[in-house]
Amino acid sequence: MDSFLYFDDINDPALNPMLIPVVAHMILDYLPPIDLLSCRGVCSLWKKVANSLLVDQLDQLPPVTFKITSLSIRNPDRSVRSIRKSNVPEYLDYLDPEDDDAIEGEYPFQFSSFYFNMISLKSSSIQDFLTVFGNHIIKLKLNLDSLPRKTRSVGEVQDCIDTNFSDSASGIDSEAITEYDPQGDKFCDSETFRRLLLEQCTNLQHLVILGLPMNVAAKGFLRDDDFEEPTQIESIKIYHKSGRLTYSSSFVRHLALPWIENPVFLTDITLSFTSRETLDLLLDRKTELSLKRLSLGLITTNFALLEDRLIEFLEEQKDSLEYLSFGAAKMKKWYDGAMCFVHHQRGCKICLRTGDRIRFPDCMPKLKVLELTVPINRAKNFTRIMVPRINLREQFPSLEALWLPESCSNNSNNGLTFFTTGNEERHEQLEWLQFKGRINEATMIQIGTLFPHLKVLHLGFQLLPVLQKIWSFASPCLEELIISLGWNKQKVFVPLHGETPSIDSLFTGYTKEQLHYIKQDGKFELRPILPSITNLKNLKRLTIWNESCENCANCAYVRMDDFVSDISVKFAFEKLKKLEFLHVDKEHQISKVGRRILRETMGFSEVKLSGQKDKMSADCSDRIEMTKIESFAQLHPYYGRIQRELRAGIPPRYEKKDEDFDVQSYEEKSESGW
Amino acid sequence: MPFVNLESSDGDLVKVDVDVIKCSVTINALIEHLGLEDDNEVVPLQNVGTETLHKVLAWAKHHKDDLPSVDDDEDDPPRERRTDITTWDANFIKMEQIQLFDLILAANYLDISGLLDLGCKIVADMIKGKTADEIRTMFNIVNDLTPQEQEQIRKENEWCEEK
Repeated sequence: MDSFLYFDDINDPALNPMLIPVVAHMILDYLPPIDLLSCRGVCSLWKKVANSLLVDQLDQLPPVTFKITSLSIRNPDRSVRSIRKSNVPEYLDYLDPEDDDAIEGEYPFQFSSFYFNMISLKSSSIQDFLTVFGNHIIKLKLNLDSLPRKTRSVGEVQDCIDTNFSDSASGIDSEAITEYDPQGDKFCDSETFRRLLLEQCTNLQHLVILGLPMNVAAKGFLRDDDFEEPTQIESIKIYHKSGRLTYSSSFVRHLALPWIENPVFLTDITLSFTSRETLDLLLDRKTELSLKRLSLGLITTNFALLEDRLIEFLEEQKDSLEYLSFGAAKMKKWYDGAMCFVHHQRGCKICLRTGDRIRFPDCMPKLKVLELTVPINRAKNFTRIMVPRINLREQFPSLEALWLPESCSNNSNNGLTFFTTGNEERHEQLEWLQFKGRINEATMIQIGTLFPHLKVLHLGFQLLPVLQKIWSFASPCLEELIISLGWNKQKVFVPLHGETPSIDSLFTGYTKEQLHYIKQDGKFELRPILPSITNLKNLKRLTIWNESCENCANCAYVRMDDFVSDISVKFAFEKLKKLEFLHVDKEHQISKVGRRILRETMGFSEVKLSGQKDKMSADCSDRIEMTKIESFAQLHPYYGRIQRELRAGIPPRYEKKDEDFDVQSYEEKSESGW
Repeated sequence: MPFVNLESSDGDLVKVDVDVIKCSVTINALIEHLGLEDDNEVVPLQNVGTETLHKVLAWAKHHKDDLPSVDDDEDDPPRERRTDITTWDANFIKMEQIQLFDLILAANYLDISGLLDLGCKIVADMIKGKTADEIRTMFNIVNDLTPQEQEQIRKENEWCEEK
């Protein structure tokens, strides 16, 4: 549809009828709820109108069934907005498929699509529905994928891990298992549903399941002998759309992988909380898959048992894999849960234990992102995984982003040396390094020399003398720096440069005496003696977090009373000509004068983030951002690019038939592989 | 047969049968209250161009014998309005989007509910299945929602978007 641009003042209702409230109301009144939702985002008038209409319509729909607007029915005169328990009888009368008026061959519900929240209804309207209409359904699509997310406490996480363990110990009894019920009601269990399908859907030809019902055994849902006339069913497909498979719930113990047809299309697997069974299924199909992206969260099994198979799997995938993640980088919540679990000292149920090793193939030529977020090299009884020393340049020549987790212990604070062979050549490709572990000055120098093209450096809680080394040794390309300031608590650490600098000294490079002189005299012609942040000519984004970890509390602490003063702003930040984003944590607020300088001379605007719970840090505190950036999406352009590239490579929707697909070779493959 | 002279915004005079234009509440009210009985009296329509006016009159002529809409059951207006469009209307409304918008503006100005309804049905059909961005581009609406509001809407919509 051509857009037209002939209005002079486009939001003038006198010219654009779309902005006349009466007209907008009349137009929107013709739309179903699903379109009204889109209309809410058009402009404020439409939002108001759509809201009022939605409220009217929602009055008639219980919220849980609202999503079922997409129940697809071929007969347009009989469009149905929703089916719910209370109105099933109405629809049964109204949409009686035996009705003479029905257009021949176009029975309603011939192609039916159900969402999880429909199935989870109390007393299950879907049972009534299938009982009456089941024999008319030719293609049935069930979306069980999007399980409602619920905030879970640590206790619940623990419970579910326990459940998983007890289940796997006793074997799976699908008769006894019911699906998880978000509403707290008992409802259609998987076995009932299976029977309904078998008994009522006698004409079913295509069954599509997106995602598996939780706790339904992989082979227990439909069985070989379920259909007496197997010719009836042309296809059973169970898969996820878009070649992507994502589970973020620990309840999903069984991956839908065994039933996914043509897994060659599947390029992206994310398992946030991985059980032994799931991982088994994945590893078993190593030869069929050609993954671009693999993200394994916490693994609730004895990892050592899988170690050899995991490396075999990675060997198979090494020519395609671009993104590899171990640990739960995106799911801080789960990560916390699991960490708490360790603290509870409940034995060995935690994913990766001391001595477990992750090995990598000798060379993964395409790997662009490697994330390791489970702690490595941690002391005492804490969980750690062993990562053998690797040569980044030889093993991951294309690597662009590397995330390393906390590795700190009281006195061993050199995770990178632990991670790398230490005598390797420079890695020219790496642009992003996230390193949460405490490091010493030597490691900081090593980072600078090893990665000359680094653009983003995210460091965890570091002592100030170490941070000072960044100014001298970090790559001149550095565009983004995320740091957390720490002061030395115990005298176990001897900084090379005498005493710990103040914040002002850290950023400006002035010594204590020089700063004193500046404060006294107000003269500013001095040259800093120490290196200053102004060495980073290309720095665009600076974030100062409070990211201290519990273990750091022994040896370093955050000074709560230190402000980033106007001296830092005037003599450091203002000289960073490319700086466009400055985020400072509550603990180190910028002084008022400093903020004014940023606003007035650098064109920053101030954004207060109050009480927002951030993903990176669990505390709720007021933070101040000084920014020139308009949208948050601009914040991490680099990481966004990688994500987009990976997504772009994902093949089109799976439903589309691939003409070129070689069925024969696939069948041969599946016979041998399944 | 009484006639009324309408003057479009382009300055053209159009002589119209009062019976035809009675569907316009605006003009009807003018005729009734101001007593525009004189054939030489001119009703200026500043918001309606000649081309649009002719379109409106064509529609009005075709529908002049339609029964007036009955607003009797206001207590419980039917949720589902009639969405069917007659063949004549369907052919009539086949026009460029610019003309359609002018027609809707005119129908709103002249208060012709039937025509306004028809236009709105067509626009509603155009909207179906489109995202907010697409709708804005299509209708050239400027987004005056704050980023916070947009984020809020996105979050609220998230749970009902098809996965």
